[in-house]
Amino acid sequence: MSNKSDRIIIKNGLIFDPLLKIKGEKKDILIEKGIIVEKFSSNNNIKEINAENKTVIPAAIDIHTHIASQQINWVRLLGKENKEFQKNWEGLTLRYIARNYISNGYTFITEANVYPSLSKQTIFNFINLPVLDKAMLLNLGNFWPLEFEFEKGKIDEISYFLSDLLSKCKGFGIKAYNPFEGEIWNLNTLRENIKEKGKLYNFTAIDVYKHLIYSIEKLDLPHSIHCHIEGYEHIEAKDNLNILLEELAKIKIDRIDSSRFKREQICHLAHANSLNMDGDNTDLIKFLNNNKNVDLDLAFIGFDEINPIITSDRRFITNYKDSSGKFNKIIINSNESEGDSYTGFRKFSKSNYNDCILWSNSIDLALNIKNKWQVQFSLNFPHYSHVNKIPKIASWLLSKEARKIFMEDMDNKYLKISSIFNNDNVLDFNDYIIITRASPAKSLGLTKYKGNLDVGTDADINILDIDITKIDSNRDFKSIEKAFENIEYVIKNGNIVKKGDKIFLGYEGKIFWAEGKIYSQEDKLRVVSKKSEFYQKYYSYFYNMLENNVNKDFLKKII
Amino acid sequence: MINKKFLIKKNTEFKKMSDQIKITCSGCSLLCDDIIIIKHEKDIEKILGTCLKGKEKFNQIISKNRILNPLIRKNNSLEKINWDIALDKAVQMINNSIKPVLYGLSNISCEAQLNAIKIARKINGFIDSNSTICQGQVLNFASKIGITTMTLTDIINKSDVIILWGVNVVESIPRLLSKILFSRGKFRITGREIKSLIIVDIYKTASFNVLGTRDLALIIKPDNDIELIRFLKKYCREEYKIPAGGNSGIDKQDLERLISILLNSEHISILTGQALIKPQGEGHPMKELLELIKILNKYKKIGRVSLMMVGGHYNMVGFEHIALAETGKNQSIQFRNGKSVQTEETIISKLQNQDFDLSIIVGTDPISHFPAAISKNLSSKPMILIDNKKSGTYLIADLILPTAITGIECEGLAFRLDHVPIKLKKIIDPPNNILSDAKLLENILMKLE
Amino acid sequence: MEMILNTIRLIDYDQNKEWIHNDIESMEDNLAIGFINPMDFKEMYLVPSLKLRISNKYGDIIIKFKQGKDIPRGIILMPISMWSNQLSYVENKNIIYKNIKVQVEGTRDSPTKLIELINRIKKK
Repeated sequence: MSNKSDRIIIKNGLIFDPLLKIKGEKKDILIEKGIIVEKFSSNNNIKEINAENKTVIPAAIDIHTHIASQQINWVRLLGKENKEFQKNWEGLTLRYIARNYISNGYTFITEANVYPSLSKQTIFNFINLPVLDKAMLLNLGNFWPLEFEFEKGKIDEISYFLSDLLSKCKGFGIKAYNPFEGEIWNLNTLRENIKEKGKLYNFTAIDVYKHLIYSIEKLDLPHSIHCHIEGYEHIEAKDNLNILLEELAKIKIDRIDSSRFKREQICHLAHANSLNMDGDNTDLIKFLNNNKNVDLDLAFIGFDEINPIITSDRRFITNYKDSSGKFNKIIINSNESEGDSYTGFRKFSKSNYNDCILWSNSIDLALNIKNKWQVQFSLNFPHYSHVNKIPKIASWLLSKEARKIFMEDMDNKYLKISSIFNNDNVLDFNDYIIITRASPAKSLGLTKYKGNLDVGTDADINILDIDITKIDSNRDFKSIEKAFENIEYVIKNGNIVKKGDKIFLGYEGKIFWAEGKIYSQEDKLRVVSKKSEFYQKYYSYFYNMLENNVNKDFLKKII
Repeated sequence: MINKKFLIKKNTEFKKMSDQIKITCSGCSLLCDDIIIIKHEKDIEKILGTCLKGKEKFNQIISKNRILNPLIRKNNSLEKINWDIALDKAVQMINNSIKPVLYGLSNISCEAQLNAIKIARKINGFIDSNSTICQGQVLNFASKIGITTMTLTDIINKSDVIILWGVNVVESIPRLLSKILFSRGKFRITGREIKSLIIVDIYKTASFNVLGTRDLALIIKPDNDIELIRFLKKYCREEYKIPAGGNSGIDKQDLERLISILLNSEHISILTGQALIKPQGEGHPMKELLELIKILNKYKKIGRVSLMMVGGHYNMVGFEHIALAETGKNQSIQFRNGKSVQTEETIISKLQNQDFDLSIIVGTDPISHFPAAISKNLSSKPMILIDNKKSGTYLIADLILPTAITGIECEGLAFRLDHVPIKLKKIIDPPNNILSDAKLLENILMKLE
Repeated sequence: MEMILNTIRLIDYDQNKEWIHNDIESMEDNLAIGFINPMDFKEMYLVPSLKLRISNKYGDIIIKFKQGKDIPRGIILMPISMWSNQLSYVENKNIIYKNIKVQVEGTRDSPTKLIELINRIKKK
């Protein structure tokens, strides 16, 4: 069923659009051919939505999620007879994912962990994931075809090859995950930190981060590098984080375009709640408050009944095995020497100290990083939380009352050290729209299309049945929760995909991709030809096999 | 259309480079992407680089047993019909059915598999693939106890030990060993010299012929795999003496070597086949093998052990992945009210209990592959067959709809045996303008709607 | 004599290949066949002109046979086909293709024809 009109006017809504610096102004929004326009080209067939006393915001954007990869299939396989998983996640099918994301106001999601060799599977799933626009980040942490370039720091060669790889796979950006951890195959061998020199390779993990950053910036890709910090959810991550931050402080990139619509970061830290397991985020917050070139996503814990584990971090999975004392049910999959994926299940608990730290780190970072444009809301879906926990999570950020009530039955040891319990700070509604909508769009380099309601952008809009300007969000957090629980309208490119409790899935989204700016096609060809030889020599398939021939109608190239 | 001489033509001079195309073979689940086709205008002139199985696949194009028209069975003989009538008949048969089953789907593209699942959803049918009686069973065990698995590039570059357990790859996946054993890898620079092969089987299969002096041949007593695996599990966990008489027909000396290799090698790849799927006594050897791998990986100080199931059909793995993403289940999916519901049934139990009133068979030949009693049940109800060649099932089916050969006459996505997605290309036009499986199933779906 | 039947895939005796290219005669030639150890051959007092009748409680077939010294004693190998599937069976939803107990004896009868197998399947 589709619900499409040629033209839509949303009348008298209260607009929140942080990028355009609009905070609760009453304004009409005009939509034609899927984008926001200043005036209609014709007065025929106009659908009017009365948004009087309602709040109109850009649709939400997820900067870090796991929704379309082989690894999700391993989750489905492990969970096919798991009653709790079936009850709470309904098999995590593509349609279920789309339905839940739309229901929570999302129109754009970023699959954050795709090995190039498996990218065809992601593309196949993307095409069958209705309504949502999507993009994938290629995991190049262990990307061994670039060994020589990483060793010698050959930025030009790396960037040319990345560009070609992105255009072949139809990738959007680059994820760096535990660089070259995979050089040791034994699952029990862990390295001390990312400064350690390789055993088979003559460089360190930190070299890989650094060279990838320079290469990505040279290509001027829409999104910066997307960094996973090794040892996350363990104290070792803190050390690795500090090593990386130290390196980042030294990197200076001159930007030609410094408009406020352009991303400022050169490095995005994934699920930053998992990096300081001592609960002390002071250094990280201080670093972000002093350096604009780093941003991060928060990855809230939703304390679901059960959560799939989706990771490629060896320390995480090794400890996961040990803690229960028996052999856990996990699927370990090595993917064409490009890295491992580990899949399993777990349950977060409010009475578990570490889980409470993970939960509170997200809130700590959200409240204390001054510039909210350096912060993006995420759930590391489905690893940390279901999207249907978002209304609840919103209340923890917008209301100290809501937070306190939720914290009452948390682990005692945690409550004793918690800086959150007595912290009266909250985000205001505008801040919340920044971190869930505008800031992810900016960090992903998508402000031309998403995350704001400017003329010319995609008409991706949420209408909330609440007049936010008349609400004391601290006390009335229940009504905000309710408004987010049932978003009245979700509009995607001018299509009404949710109205009341009805969701319409009969509409295809697009796959966003980028290859960056190339200065010499000739040099690119030279590098690609050299790398093709590497594939011929060592891979089980030829390099050209990576080509994803996707129907143009499904694609949207950003740069 | 197709130059019938291409198969016997010898010493054909190479055409100019533009006539050469590198393509992927869909002859088996290895999906070799290094096959060269020399085309002349619209015909295939020459095919270079296939194994015997691959050659057979290409021979299908001009096979005399190819099905080129829709056929309907009347008075026990088949009659040609046109496509409009054929599709109407298919839809009519489906609409008359209350309990339809769809089966096969391992020799078609992922796009076709997806459409078949959509049809099953639409008609509230039961859908299952060949993997239910094959590779899929390994995944079912994996879903209960986990698994450590790898892909071909890992084996090529890292493996110092390859174990073939109950699988005769030389005859089922002919080029597999040339890819993974007789190849040089980044960390195995000297190639075959540094890669050891261990074969465990109940008899000396053709694969044993590739064994060298450093390799290990283990002839095991029938149905004794489980006992050997249990022995190894015990040995790895605690101090344990190897009995003087060996175990499961394998002598003490060979067992000592096997254990030493398992514990001290850097990258062990175990490839298994149908032999370990059958229950042995009260237990399942595959389940125990997955547990052994888990134990080894927990205790090993160096290296790792991984498992790969060697299935034959070129896109059996594809069905598992498409079905998981669409329905949350990898096989044996029952739809009710458009939703997949929990069921204990498999295609075998459905047929055994005659719990169906129509079968739609896609790209497979169950009549030749199932035990006779099951085939008999299958043949007792109306049957639609979608395939490109004659088969045992062809001799029984009531309505036969031919399709193009994927990877030659139409394109599509397939998953290699190690779960790596590979694109299959279209090289030539299909005869009689027959449609791809994906398009035909899409047309049926549209007609049903 | 009681033996253990293992159905296997062999590139020269391949059901799929037969269906693609060959006629029924070739199919009967290449699929109605079994392989046994020469010692078992002797023990059953077989001569090369005889055929084998293989049976169990699920069905029976007559096939040609060849000797192979690599085949262990007591085991008969057959390519997977409509012939071998007269003897395979289902146990707990699993199809048993391997290690099937069968009775084997020499016979002067000719090998089972494909048409007979099809008729068995079609018979109501």
